[in-house]
Amino acid sequence: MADIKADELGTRVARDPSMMTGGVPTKEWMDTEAVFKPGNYCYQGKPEVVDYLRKELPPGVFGPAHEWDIESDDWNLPDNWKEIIVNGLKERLDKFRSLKIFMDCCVRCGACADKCHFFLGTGDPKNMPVMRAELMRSVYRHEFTKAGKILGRMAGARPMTFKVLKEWFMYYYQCTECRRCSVFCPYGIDTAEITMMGRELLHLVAVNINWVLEPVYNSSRTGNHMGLQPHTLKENVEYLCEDIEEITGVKITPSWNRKGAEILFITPSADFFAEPGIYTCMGYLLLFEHLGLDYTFSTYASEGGNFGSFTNNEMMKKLNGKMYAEAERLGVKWILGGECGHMWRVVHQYMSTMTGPADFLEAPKSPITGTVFENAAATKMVHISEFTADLIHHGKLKLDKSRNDHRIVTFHDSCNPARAMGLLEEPRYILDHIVNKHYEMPENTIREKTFCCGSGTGLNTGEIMELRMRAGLPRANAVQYVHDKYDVNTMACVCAIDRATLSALMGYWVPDVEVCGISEMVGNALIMDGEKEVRETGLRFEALAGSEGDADV
Amino acid sequence: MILREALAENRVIIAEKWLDSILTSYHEDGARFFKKQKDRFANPLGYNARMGAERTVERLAAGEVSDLPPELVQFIKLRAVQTFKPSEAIGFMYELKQISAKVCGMDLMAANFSEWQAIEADIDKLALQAFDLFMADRELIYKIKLEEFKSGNAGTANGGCPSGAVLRKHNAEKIELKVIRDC
Repeated sequence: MADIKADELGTRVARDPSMMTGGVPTKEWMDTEAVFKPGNYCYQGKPEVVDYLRKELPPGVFGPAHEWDIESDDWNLPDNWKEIIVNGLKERLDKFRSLKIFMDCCVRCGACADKCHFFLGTGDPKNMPVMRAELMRSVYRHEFTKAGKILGRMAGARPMTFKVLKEWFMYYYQCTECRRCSVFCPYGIDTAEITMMGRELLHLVAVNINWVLEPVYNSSRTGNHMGLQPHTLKENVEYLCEDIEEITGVKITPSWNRKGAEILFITPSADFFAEPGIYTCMGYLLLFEHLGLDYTFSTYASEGGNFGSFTNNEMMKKLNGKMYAEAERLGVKWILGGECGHMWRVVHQYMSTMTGPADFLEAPKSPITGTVFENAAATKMVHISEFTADLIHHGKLKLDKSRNDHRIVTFHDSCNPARAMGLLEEPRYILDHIVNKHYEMPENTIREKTFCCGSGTGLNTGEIMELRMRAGLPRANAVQYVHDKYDVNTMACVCAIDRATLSALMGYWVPDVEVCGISEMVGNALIMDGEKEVRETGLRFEALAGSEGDADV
Repeated sequence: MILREALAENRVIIAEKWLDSILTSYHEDGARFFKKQKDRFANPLGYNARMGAERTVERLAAGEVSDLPPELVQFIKLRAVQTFKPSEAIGFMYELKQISAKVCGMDLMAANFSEWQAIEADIDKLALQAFDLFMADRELIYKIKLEEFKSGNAGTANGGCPSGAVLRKHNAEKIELKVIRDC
């Protein structure tokens, strides 16, 4: 340790607790309390939102709505809150074998400890995945193991107390369920599932965050995160089509809620209303027009994202079920999914046993190439990058990749498509054909080892911007490297949360780098029938390389 | 130039002690990792702190203090979002004085006091640059919060439902934001 101490130097003026946990802990971890201060927590759920969701789902899934102040020492919890939590844990241990295994099988090897972006950006040991799991394991041992009951703290056990509850709320909302740690765990412990269980248990006593709950509430009521009603949704896409016409000269009229269409297209609703997702949506529209695809949007299943998966499995099931209910109602053959992150984790890892089997749909078959996507035989849902890569492989797209010459690209593997469905090659294959220059970030920051944006699982909210910036450090650091080395100015990704949050992350760490979806660049490169002789701008009205156009950059 | 030469000779040990001191602001488990892991992508905090310290000491020894090395700039950027108070976030810059004096020897400092005063003034210049960077980073955070709000993402949990026209109007406003506030 240092030779020079603070009191000797007299330079560290402020001596109060400063780290997000309330200071550099000098006590054992069990004795170190979580301290909530503005900026280190997300705002609590609105009571009317909780109340609505409580009535929507089976009894007990969401606890009774209540007013509570996160910074206070009284969260206005039900009198029997401890009993509710412990019984909830017992129920889940019986229901989910994986949780039981994860509680028992950790050998403290430490392989995961330094793999979490929250730990790397804070140095807070409770952000080590092993410790995050230990927050729950300690209660599990106390309640459900003989050693824990007899030996107590000596066996790493502790009872459920209000301090523990605060700690859970702090650290289960400082995990983005990105699963990077699980890649390194020799036992395959999935910390994301521990966090999911932690959040489920907190919901039992209505301890929650609004940034997750209100999108769930909106999706449940109106079909999408923002609560856009059908006419608004349609109007937003019409605006995008107007822009497409101005940029390319091609008029597109997509169909909505059309029965008998071959394909239902579902994408995160951020693609309809938020920058830079809207440009990705314009890319989808151009691609489908290019192919003459028989597809429809839905105003009911107008959300690919499933924030329900950040609350509890019942809510996740309900929101996932809407997609399949709409596919059945419209009579489509299969579902094409847009660039989304956790939607694909829900579809690939949970859907078939949770909502499926979707026997009323057909195994997805590309109407253009004839390729049958056997990997999607159970879910009947194909990723837009799989679909596009197949089209390119069969030479079905007319592309001019020089239209993306203003972009020097690196590809960010979004956590869920990379680690939950193995979508590693398709986006890169597409990039090979739509841009002239793209460079990989260092090996230990991409593919299955990719670093999270730092804002997933409903943590993409403004009140914790500083937390997001420090959690996103490892990702941004790798981007900085390729920016310095290769002049990379664009980070491509296939996730709506990434598109939104990486824009902020780059704004702070690497301001010269823009974020865009793969499909946006596909749209730029597509040579459309009947298009303008010369395309002067890209889909965000940015000047193309060599263009003299009066672009609104 | 006796002291500058002494700084150059002892730059490795000075940087090492300075790094140790900087890392005491983190939990010991975190600090141990930040010091041990040398891969710059697996440990960006530790890498920037270490390289920032080494290069700053080198520059101080050479009397080149017109700007900070890029690694230290990145490290300060991180300190600006780690919920330290400003004095804690930047105070480590001043520790370089005591560490340099202790490593090079107090007697040598006393015997070359006017040169030592010049070195102290250089460290003050470096520290003030760090403070400027810290403030610029804080202002940038507020700008990013506002830009994210304008992008439409904030509407997700605020019950809003702007039409495309409203969104386009907002996006068309390319306002050069000048955030003036302290932290």
